[in-house]
Amino acid sequence: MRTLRRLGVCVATLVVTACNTLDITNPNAPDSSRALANPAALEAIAGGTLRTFFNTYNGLEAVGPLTTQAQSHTSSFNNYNMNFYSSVDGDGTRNSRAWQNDPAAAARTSIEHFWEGYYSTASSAADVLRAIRGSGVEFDDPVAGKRAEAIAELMLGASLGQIAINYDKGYLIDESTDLNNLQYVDRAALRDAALAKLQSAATLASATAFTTPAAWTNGNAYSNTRIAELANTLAAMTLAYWPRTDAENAAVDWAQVATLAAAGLSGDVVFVGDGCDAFCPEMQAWTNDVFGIRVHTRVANILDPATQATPYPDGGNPQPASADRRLGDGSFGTVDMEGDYGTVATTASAGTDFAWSAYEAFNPTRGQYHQSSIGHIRYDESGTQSVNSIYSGYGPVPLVPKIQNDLIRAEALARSGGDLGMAATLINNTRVGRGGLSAAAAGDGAALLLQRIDYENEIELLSLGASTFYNRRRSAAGLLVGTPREMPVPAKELGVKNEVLYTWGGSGPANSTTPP
Amino acid sequence: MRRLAAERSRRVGIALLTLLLSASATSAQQAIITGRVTSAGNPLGGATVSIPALGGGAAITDEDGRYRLAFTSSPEATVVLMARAIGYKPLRQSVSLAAGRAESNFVLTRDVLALDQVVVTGTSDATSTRKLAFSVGVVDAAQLKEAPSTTPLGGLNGRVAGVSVTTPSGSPGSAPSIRLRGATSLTGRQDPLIIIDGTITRLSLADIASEDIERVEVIKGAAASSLYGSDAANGVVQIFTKRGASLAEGQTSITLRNEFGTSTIRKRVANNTSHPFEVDASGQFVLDGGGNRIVEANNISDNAYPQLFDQLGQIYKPGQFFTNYISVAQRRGNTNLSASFQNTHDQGILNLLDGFSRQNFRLNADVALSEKLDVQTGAFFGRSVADQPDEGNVFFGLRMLEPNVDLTATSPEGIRYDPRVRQTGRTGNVSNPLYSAFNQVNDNERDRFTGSVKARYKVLPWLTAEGNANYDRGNDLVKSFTPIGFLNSTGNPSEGSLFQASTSSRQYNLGAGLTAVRSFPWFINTTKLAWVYEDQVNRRLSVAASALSVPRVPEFAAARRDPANPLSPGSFTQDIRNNNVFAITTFDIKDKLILDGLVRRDQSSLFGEDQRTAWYHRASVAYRLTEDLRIPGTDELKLRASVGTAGLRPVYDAQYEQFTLVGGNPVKVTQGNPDLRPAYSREAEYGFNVNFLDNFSLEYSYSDKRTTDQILNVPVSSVTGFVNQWTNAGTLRAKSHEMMLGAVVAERAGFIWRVNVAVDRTRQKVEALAVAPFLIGPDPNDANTRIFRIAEGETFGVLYGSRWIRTPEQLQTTIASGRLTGSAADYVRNEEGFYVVANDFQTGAERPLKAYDASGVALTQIGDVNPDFNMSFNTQATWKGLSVSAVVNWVKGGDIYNYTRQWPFFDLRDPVFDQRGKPDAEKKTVAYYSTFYNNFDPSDYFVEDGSYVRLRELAVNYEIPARWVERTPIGANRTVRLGIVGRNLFTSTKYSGYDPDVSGPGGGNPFGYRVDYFTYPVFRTITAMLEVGF
Repeated sequence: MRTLRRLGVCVATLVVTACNTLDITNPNAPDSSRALANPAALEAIAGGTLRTFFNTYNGLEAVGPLTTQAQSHTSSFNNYNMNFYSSVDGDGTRNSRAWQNDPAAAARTSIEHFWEGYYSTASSAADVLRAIRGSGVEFDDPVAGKRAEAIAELMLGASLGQIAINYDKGYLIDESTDLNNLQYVDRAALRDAALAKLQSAATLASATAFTTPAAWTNGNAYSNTRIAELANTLAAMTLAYWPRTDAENAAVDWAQVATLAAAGLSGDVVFVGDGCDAFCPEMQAWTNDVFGIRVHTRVANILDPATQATPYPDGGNPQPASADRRLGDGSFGTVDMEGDYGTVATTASAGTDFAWSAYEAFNPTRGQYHQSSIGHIRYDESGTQSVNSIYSGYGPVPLVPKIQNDLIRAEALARSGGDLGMAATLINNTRVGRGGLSAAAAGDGAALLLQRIDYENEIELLSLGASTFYNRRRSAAGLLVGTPREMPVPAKELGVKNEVLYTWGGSGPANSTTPP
Repeated sequence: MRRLAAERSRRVGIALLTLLLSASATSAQQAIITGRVTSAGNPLGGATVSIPALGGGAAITDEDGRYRLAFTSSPEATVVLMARAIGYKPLRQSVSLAAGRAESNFVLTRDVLALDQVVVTGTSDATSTRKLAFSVGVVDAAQLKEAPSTTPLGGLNGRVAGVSVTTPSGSPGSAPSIRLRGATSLTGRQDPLIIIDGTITRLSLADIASEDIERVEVIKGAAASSLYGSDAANGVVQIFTKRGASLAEGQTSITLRNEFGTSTIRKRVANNTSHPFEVDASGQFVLDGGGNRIVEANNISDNAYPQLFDQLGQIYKPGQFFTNYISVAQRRGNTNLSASFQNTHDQGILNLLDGFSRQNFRLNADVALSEKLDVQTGAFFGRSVADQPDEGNVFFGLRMLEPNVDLTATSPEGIRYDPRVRQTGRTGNVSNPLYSAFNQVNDNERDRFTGSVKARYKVLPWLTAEGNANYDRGNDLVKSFTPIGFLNSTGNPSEGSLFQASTSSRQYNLGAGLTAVRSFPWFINTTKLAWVYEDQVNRRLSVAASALSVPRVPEFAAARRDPANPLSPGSFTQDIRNNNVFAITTFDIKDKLILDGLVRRDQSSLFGEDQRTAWYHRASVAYRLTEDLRIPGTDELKLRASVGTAGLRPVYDAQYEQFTLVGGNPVKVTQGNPDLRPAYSREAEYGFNVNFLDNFSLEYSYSDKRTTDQILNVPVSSVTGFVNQWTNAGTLRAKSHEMMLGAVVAERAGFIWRVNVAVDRTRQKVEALAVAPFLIGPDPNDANTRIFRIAEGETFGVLYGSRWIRTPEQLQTTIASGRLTGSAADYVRNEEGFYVVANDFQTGAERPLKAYDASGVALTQIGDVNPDFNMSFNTQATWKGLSVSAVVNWVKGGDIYNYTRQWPFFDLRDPVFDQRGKPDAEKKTVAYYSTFYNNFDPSDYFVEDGSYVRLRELAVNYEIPARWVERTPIGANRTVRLGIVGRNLFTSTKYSGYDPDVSGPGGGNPFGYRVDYFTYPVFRTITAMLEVGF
């Protein structure tokens, strides 16, 4: 009898065990039901779009090759395919490369970064808008709801704008999009849709007074007014940086650009890096490292033609003595750093943005065009390349600085027959204020002012995203022959859709034709 | 003759049936059978004597080989008595079962070719290998004991055809990876299901001691493994540990085994010992004003360094290896038990590191509580500690070093193993491995507990109920510590760091089953119904500190917690449940035709919520042809065929929609898939077994395996916001030929020489792919090694990259593509076989040229990792007390991609740069060789033939004659064996790296990706052995 009882207990145990449910909720990561139904989570997603956009905009995977293609920076490292896409190949079989838009190509990832990052941003932004406008998720604090809506609309427009600037075509999405029936639209349609979203965002932000949580940028809070300004600046950028060719550049409605920029940023919008745990100023972390990436000798040369020869000669370029205070004598850091970095300790003539290093970072046989003696250190706050500076992904970096808005506005004024005096003033903010160079004036005329603007673009916007040094130089025939001027839809996306692979650059066309 | 035997069997069956049926009607009378089991004149203790048709009631012989069987019986029944002992051929004898005493003696002969082993894996009940309808590989303790592998399944290498065992890292204490036959998964691992004493385990095999293993059974694919369902498409390896069951009745056996020896690096990899820089009269580098070396105008690396150091000699040092093992086993009455303790230390070959230490304790005990009920229990506890290298610092940094650096130097400031090894013009890739080993901590501690209990109850003479409960728990603690002030290669101090992760896994499996064995006039049927439940919980908690506040405090109390250096925690919990039932039936028709079928239903929490159930089945047949047809010289010929299905389960989080939290913000990552199914493998296996000329056995199997519903993590349209989705999207087909030849080459008095040869050849292809082609590699997190292309119609295991022009055809095609100008006459083939521009030939401008296809594309297949075939030789010879055993592996063909050559090209560290000794005209510049670096993208320059022949094991053991032992303090009735054991003794290969048995970083599919990527090299170990038996 006792045996039977024991047997019964065993059987009961087994039966109970067998009835354990197989439907197990994953406790390790939220799904839509947990992430999109709660107002607090929606706010977090809206705030997260700012971070995703910032990280994408500064992501070296795409920006690295673009900056080396533009010969703004140069890298002997091939991390992020920077060397691969940069210039003359070691085997002498080509001048510059087409985008390697093939799933079997290692260098395909450079084309994927923007596409995935901006659509990730746009998708999250659309989710927020759908929850607020479609699903009717109610916020206890109505201002918080409006803030989330404005930020989501802003980032949706900004992302579509970046797709328009960088790709030949893409998808238009918003909160009402049926993802099952999406068709590509051309880059002009993307640009126009982005413009509309950004203007809508400016309107939404202007309508409700709010302040963004500091955590959204990891350190700085912004008023609704500044968010509206940012929307206008991004709208101006979308128009100004969109052209691939001289002809397209000439066709830009520069008057509209000037109007948008006039309502643009009155101060910087800054994010603070956290060592790339979540906020990653990746571009600055690499380009503001004396060893990682050097300033191309093309740029070094315009800063100090007398000492910084281009291309780089045997033995390197000597210590500079630039009239531009942003380079100065190239001294940098402390005496202790001299042995490690080949720099000269800071003197009274030290530059604010650039440092000179005697050391060759690499064996010059990898291509002397990958070398220069000038490093960019503007965002290295400490001046010592400590482990908690921009060198390691820490510290403040503007997403879009006020000067970028000013330079766009100046260019728009110069190109649209606007107020050249205002244009000169905007240029002189940095040309004279930071560079200590002679002042530009209305009397210089539009052509010279545009040259001054190009110079300021090269210096002031160096290391900030890809827009200026690549996007502006592509429309001014400033890129090497064979350099693509836009990206194709990534092979990964084409594969998902079972579509034919294609690319731009190399021996083929550099870009798509101008959409009607 | 055959007909007579069959008739006799039939009569015996009828007699037994009559006996059983009449048992209750007849008054009880006792029949006692006694006898002795011997072999070659010596008693055989531990042999089992039984009447198989009656089941149960077996007797075990004592140390004199004597047994006693008692039955309640009716008069004058004739039964078949069988004597069986491990390593001997079973013998059947008829005996009249009548009241009173009868005697039956057995003389067994050695089963040198192991033709009569009994296996239980994949079958309905214990089955002789002669009656299997599919291939089962068996390796027993007799084969393993001569040179117990440092990893528990290392002994399979070379002993079972179609089994590949590799250690992704040679680091002491690393778990091996196993693949059986061809691949089943395009992107996942190929490890088989591991069952240890009934415990379904997913924890590290590195915890198990080889010396504890009694037997390993291997089934290689779905044709045999369907019984194990949705986790068995990769095959099943079942390990049985020692239980004292083979001892003689009343025997107590104590074995003390010690090995002590050293491990050494097997091969050295050369560095470039020349340079292209200007030197002064004293041989020192000339520096420019910036402190940079000056490259000579000819840019040729042919200048000698002023001083060279034996850096490999400084890094790799002979390491201590020892293992102490003691086991106590006993068999007495209704109980048998085995207890063992092992203490192992494997220092490895790296200077300054302690390596791996492990202590294991195991206790197995079986008791027959009554004639109907027996219980088996087991418990295992293991603890290990590994002092591991930072492989990035050691094996990567080492390959980048210039040879003029003394790694043992102490700096003027007193810093031991001066880390400041970066020299101008060099990159930051260099590091001093000794400084890292001396100052950093990378420890891994593991605790493991396994417990099992199994009970069998004979409900009826033909019906057995059984239940089992198995528990497996492992705790793993990883700790990495870099102290404040740790210097990099330029002398910059770090702020220190600390990382600690604790992973615990707990799993149990429960089982219950009913097995019926019914004998009928024409056949015996064995049918089993069973239920298996698996429950697994994995938990991990980790904390990382990126900077520390105080020195020499390797705990988080020292962590800085400022905004720039927050503590970074991480954790996960994974609950996994599987609920499975199966039914299997086997018909043994007249001892010559075996029919087998099974069906299994699996339900798993790992399947998508709309696909919770999966079904599997198997049908097998074997025909022992020689039971009907006599073939001269052939002892047995069995034909067999089996078709079965099995699955591969998705990983834990594959089915779920997932957002990740970045900086506290949810971001979409994985699109959920409620329809995710297990991969479905259908295998057909055909083969034969033939035993011939008394001393030979040959087993051949052909496997055609098609695995559909491949579980792939594929990209989704970026417009969804998600990055990927796990989906069923491909078919992988693998065809394998396997052959195992066993031969007793010589057998004379006191001398036996046995040889086994195992050969296999596998071809595998991506038959269908529902997603775009993609690249994969061994480490999902390392884009550098993603060089293997998965595409429909493509061979699985091909490398993609670019080629350098070596043939006139490549040259013509490249010119036609427009990538080169002029005509073929403008180019010339240089001394190294590469085409270069004719005008540049033997000038400083000479460069190799890349090949392009007609459309100007350079990407193409540059290699295939699949070997032409694998062959192993396993031999064992014994003469009196002397035994010699050896295992030789031969891998023919198959490419390796050698990143450990390509990356050092960046720093000119490959010996090919060294131009000394060449005629001046033939010297190439640094720029010429640097071209091959190819921006670290793959090219055929670094594809190497991975063929090798390896003497994997060699053991020479000698059992000292008893008369000598008696004269020692050890005393009489003891056995003493001395021996020398060598592991990985010798490898013949043209491969330039440390070892051709490489599998890349990251622990992906080690067999699909033969990539050499700065891992701990496999090393040689030679030990002396002393074993004392009591």
